[in-house]
Amino acid sequence: MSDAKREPEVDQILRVRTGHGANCSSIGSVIDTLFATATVGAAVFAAVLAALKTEDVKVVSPMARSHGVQDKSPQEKDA
Amino acid sequence: MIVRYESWGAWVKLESQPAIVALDRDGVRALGLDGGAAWLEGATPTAPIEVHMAVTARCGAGCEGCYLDARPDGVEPPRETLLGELDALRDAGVFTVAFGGGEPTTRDDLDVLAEDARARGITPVLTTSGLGLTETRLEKLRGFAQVNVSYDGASETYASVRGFDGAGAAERAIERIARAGMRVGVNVVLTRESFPRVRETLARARELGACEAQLLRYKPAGRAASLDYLARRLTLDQARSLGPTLRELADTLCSSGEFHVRIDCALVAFLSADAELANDPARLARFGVFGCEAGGALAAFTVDGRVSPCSFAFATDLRATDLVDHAADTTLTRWRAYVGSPAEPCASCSMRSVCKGGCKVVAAHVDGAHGPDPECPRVAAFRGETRRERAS
Repeated sequence: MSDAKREPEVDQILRVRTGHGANCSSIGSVIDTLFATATVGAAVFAAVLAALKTEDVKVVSPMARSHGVQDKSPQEKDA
Repeated sequence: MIVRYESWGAWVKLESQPAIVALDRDGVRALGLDGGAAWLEGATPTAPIEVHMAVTARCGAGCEGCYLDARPDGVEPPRETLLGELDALRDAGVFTVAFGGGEPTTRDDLDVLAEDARARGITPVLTTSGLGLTETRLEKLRGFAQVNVSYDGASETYASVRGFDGAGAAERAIERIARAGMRVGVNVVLTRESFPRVRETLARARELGACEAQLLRYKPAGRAASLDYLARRLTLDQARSLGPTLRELADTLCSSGEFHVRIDCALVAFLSADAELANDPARLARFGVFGCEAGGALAAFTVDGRVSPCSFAFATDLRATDLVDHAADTTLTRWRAYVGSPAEPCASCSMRSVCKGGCKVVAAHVDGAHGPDPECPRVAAFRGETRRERAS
């Protein structure tokens, strides 16, 4: 995979779930960003976009065991 | 970052910041990747992204509403058993594991289990009551990305939810975890007694060093699955006021960006009473709000090693170590299928794609059926209208 190809756009982001959410009984979602200004909301997506462009990539293959696929698929490699 | 392909694109867990992102297929291609088999028509549903793992049923707190019915002599699976379950999470591509119980800090190997999860690429988080948090136990929490302390409010409020006053111990735990440099949040159970004091509860938690508060709906499971549930659950007026309450909390407590408020999956249905939010479900979705994801993005492992749709639901026959076979489990399939074609009034609700029908555990307890959440303001109004139509 080439870093030169890594140009995701904000419209291609369907959802952003921020925070760790450490509750052990029901899944939680940050809600205050919904009420924040457009600037704050845009900043959340800008930070995500920057991370998508710079972080090393590892692909996990959820179906590996049940489908007898080897642990590392062709895509499963660090960028 | 860790990428997991989905039929619609991919989930991406970032590592430079605590965030999970859903990218569409074009976005995935823009990363230079391709979904391959996961993007083919008829691909099997993927596994949860978050799993709640009961690592013990042991707890001396005796909370009146404990969803697990944890007790001082509760069972505690050996580490080897939990390692097998963590392997299953890794094989299924799960991103986050939340340790709970029972009181997880009673385990001597908690720090090792956190390392075990991280070694498998899974982010471990944990919930504790904070009771009995010795220095030794505190140090064992360092491997967790975040620790949440159960804190429903100051003395009387706490006692009204749990049946004893553990507020002081919880407050000390929050403060000590924060001072030790770990990320700490609080879990706040909303009952009709604790709801009116939620603002002061969260303000106190923030003052003690919490970075986040997760508001939890009181649910009828374990010891809370009794007639008493009906007297403790939020009133309809309180449910209707959740949206404005959240706005006020955001305005007064979150403006600096250093403290966040979360709501749990079961509370999302109550936002149907808030016109601004209900009319903009795309915004809720874009900011990652999850309604009932039981059996979908969420699953739970029971203390005896079974998979359940969520921590409050009955366990399926699927063994936790076989999580990769979740798509073949009939119970999980039924839960997922209902979300795709719910009954009215959910079928015509603007928030359906986010809310996903509200809490099925509440529906099963109150209505005796896997159906619309009877405590959702929209469902309550629909049923009221239906009754009036029948009477006229």
